[in-house]
Amino acid sequence: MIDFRFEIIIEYLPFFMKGMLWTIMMSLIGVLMGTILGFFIALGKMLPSKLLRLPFIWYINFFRGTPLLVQLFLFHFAVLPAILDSVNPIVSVVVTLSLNSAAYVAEIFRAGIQSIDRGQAEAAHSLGMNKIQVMRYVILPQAFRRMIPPLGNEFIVLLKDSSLGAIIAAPELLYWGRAATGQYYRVWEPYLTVALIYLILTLTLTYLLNYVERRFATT
Amino acid sequence: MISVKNLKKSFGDLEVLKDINVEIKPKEVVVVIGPSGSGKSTFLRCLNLIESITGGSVEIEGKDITAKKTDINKLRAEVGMVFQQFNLFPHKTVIENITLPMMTVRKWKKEAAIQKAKELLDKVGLKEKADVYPDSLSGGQKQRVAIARALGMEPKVMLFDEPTSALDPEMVGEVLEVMKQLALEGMTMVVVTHEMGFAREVGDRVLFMDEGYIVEENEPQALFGNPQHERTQAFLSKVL
Amino acid sequence: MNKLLKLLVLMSIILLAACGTDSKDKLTVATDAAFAPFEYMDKGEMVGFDVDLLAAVMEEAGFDYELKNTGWEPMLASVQGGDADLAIAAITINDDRKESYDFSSPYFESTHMVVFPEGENITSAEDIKGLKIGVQTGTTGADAAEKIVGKNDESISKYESNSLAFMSLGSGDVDVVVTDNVVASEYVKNNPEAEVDMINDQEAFESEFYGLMFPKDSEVRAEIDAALQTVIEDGTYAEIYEEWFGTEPNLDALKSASK
Repeated sequence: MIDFRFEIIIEYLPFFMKGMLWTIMMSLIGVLMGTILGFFIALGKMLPSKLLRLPFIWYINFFRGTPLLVQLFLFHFAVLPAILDSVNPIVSVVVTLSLNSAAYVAEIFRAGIQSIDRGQAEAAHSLGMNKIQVMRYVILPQAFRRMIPPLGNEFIVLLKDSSLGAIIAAPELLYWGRAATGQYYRVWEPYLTVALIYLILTLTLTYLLNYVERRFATT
Repeated sequence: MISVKNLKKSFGDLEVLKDINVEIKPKEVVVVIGPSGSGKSTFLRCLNLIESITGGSVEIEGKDITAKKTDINKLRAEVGMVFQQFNLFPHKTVIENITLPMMTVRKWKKEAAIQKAKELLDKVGLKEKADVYPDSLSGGQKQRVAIARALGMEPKVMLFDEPTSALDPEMVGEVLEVMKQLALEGMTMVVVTHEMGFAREVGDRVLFMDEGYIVEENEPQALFGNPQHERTQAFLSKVL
Repeated sequence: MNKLLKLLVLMSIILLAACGTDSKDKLTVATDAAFAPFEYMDKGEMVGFDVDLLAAVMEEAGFDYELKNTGWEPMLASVQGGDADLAIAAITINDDRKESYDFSSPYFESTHMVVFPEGENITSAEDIKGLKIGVQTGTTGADAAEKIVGKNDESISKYESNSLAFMSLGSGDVDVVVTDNVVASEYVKNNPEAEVDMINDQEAFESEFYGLMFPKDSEVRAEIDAALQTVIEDGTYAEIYEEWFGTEPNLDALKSASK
């Protein structure tokens, strides 16, 4: 720590920037797909029939109960090669992150929806609204407000989890940190820089989510 | 108007409604009284299928509400319901609470819905509260909005589930006043309540329920003045 | 609350003291035991060529030592920070790294192989240009490949480990893997069903040399380096080398590289 070699950081800065863009892109798609997928899994998990619920319950069990790294390996080396002509680590990371975060998002959605007082749905039904209308106009707007903080948490975790892509050579942020360490055998310069960039990204996300939360609190 | 035959309802092993039979005529105001746990709220909630039915039948205007071909949402729109806990939508303003079901269920145009909602708010005395959120209203005001919201669907019958039980005493009157007005206009009403004064003054008929049965029914004067069944007598001696 | 705080303070003091009282007469050697056959875990024991060589050198130099499996990055950090006195982990000596560390003379010559699916028409190192190349990040294989296609070129994928690079070769993620000869033969030995060929291009791939890694201005470096020379010259080195690699070492290459 006595001698901090800034020239290593400067040399690798363009790579860190490029890696950051991949990190942002993978995370954005992961968040988007995870949220959409998670919503439907949450609905599936709330189906009235026990048998129909089962696949959704096990989807969540699998993705929450096994290491993300192993899931990444499974998709990158087994599942995706069987489906796609050519594998690409970025695609593998995006797919794995989306599916994985969908499991967590599903639980956030379910908890949010079930936290709304039953009287709300009863009142809406008593007025003649159908299930979809009750969900869309009454339950979800209220549930969503409560889901913003845990969703924000999940998005931050997802952003950092995207760094696992480094292991299968997806050229994201941490990948370039490792590459710089590999070249100079120095740990602190690359990793602290990478950590700082992650911090900037997560702080930006945090402020964004706080803004959304305030917006929803006032309407 | 409403015809209930052999209605049964169980929650698991607990049989809450054992054998309910009653006919409710158009423009009639029927008040349901009884000790807590007697099944009176459950009975009311079975009438619009907020609670599913275990056995027997409920017909509204000749339509069996549990029949497969009955569109339950369409039917519920014809049956207004007012809850003990108001159940206003907290994320919507007062006027939006009223216009939302008009626009989604009745498919009214926004302008028409707002026009109608304003009339209803005027009717319940809350014209100036149109654009506030329910959180800033008192309990009595909330319940009056809830009544206006139900009326927005132009229902043929209104169900009231202990509408004043969650209110501070000084607010009970303003809600009962609105209900009385409705009765005078000829609305068919089924009211579960502990307000014996209201039952006596507004009710055409009073049902006394206990342990899942309608034990006794009569005109208010007769039931309150000369109860026949000993359980009715015991209950009335406690509440009057 | 107060009691809990006191307990916490006490515990931290004990913890700090435990870290601080590492006896100075015993050398701490850091390694990353995940690189067979140089150093790896065999049923919980650290074994390998480096492990045996280190034992011989330390005996010759007369040092007590403790070999700690710290993992790669902690190994680098602890040598840089002086917490470890040296590291041995098939570490390649090069100029970039000499800026931050001191090294012993070379103790191992590493040459490189291009590994590719059977039947591909690859005859020289130059043929990997334009192909997707897999390497392990921070290895001589990575350096060797970068010397041909350029540093951090987009065609190079740097994996966490050689096994992941080879898996990616199997799944078609990359077209070739560049790695050192020892790792390549180890892979073929352990995966006989993998249908791969490999070539060795002595001209294009310069040899790389492994060395013991010390903090800058290490006080023990000279002594240990002298002991290493003795071990190489008295035949102990060759014995260990043959035991692990089954062939004789090229001592001339080591000698000429150390000058």
